[in-house]
Amino acid sequence: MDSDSRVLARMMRSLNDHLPEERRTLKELLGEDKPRVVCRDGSSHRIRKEELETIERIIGRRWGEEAERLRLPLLIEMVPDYGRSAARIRGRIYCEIVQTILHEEKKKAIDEMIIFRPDVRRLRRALPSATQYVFMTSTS
Amino acid sequence: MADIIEGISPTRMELLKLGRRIVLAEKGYKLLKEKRDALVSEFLDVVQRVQDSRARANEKLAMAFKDLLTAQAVMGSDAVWQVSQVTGQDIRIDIDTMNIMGVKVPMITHQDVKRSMIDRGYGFADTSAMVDDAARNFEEAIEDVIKLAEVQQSVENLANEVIKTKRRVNALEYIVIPRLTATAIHIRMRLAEMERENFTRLKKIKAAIEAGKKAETA
Repeated sequence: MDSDSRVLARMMRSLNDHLPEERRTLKELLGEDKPRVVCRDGSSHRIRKEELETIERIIGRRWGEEAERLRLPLLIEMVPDYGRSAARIRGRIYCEIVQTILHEEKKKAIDEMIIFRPDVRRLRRALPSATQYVFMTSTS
Repeated sequence: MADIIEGISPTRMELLKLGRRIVLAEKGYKLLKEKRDALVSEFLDVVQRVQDSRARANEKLAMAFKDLLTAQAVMGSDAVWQVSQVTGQDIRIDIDTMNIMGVKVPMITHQDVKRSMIDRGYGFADTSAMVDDAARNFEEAIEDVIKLAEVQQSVENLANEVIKTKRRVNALEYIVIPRLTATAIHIRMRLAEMERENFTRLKKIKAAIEAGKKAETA
């Protein structure tokens, strides 16, 4: 691999350095005075308590046990396969949270949903510290 | 057409390597474009928050200073100064960081700075109601000023990252990918040219052999 390609490969890897090394459960985070996660680049990412409480309010009533296993931050996956600025949310519980925040009608439980730029912005405005972008390469 | 990369030999091996580099560069370009778009929308949101916070802080500070001037007019500047010395002035803030796509932005949290009249510590008998109004408005303004400090710093950090990412996207879009593509085209054309040369050479050799055979039989 030549130097250009090495630089490019390193740059692509570093795009996701802001992701947490390990996501933490809502229960753990709520139990802390200053909830935070450690990122891959070694920095710490603080999550606002108010956002955690918003999530707890959304899922607390319905999910019970599962809510304790919910891991944060919620990941907004930017996948080029779905078009420009389209994002994927995976996981039933995460989809439920996003649907509630976006005031979408919940017809049935879904495991995966695609949202587009205006919705991504709304979601980020509602949960700026409890969500993180993930940049994924195209599968094609 | 873009420049070609110097010093690359026109071989099939190089063409295969270039193909892989083009795929990698295009993937990187798509990802960086996504990052740039996401950063720009974050940036626009934060700019909006800066404008809102600044407007609110300005409005509250204007009201607070107006009340302060009125209080000074009613009680006298010295009396107001004395009252200000009685009240506690410490505000506890906690500065932490939030990581938005690799950009570290500050997150400032603070305890409630609004106090009741009793907590402010001055007597009611010898002070004007305007002092209370000024104090309340200043306390409200402080919250907005803290919020403004947070978002203002976020705007600066995000703007720097937007510029950096934009530069990378442009470098890939206008320099790296076109140069790789042009080099691949150049190699493909050179290989085709070599193939044609080879074909002509073979035809000439064949003709020479046939001419030799004819001369032998004659």
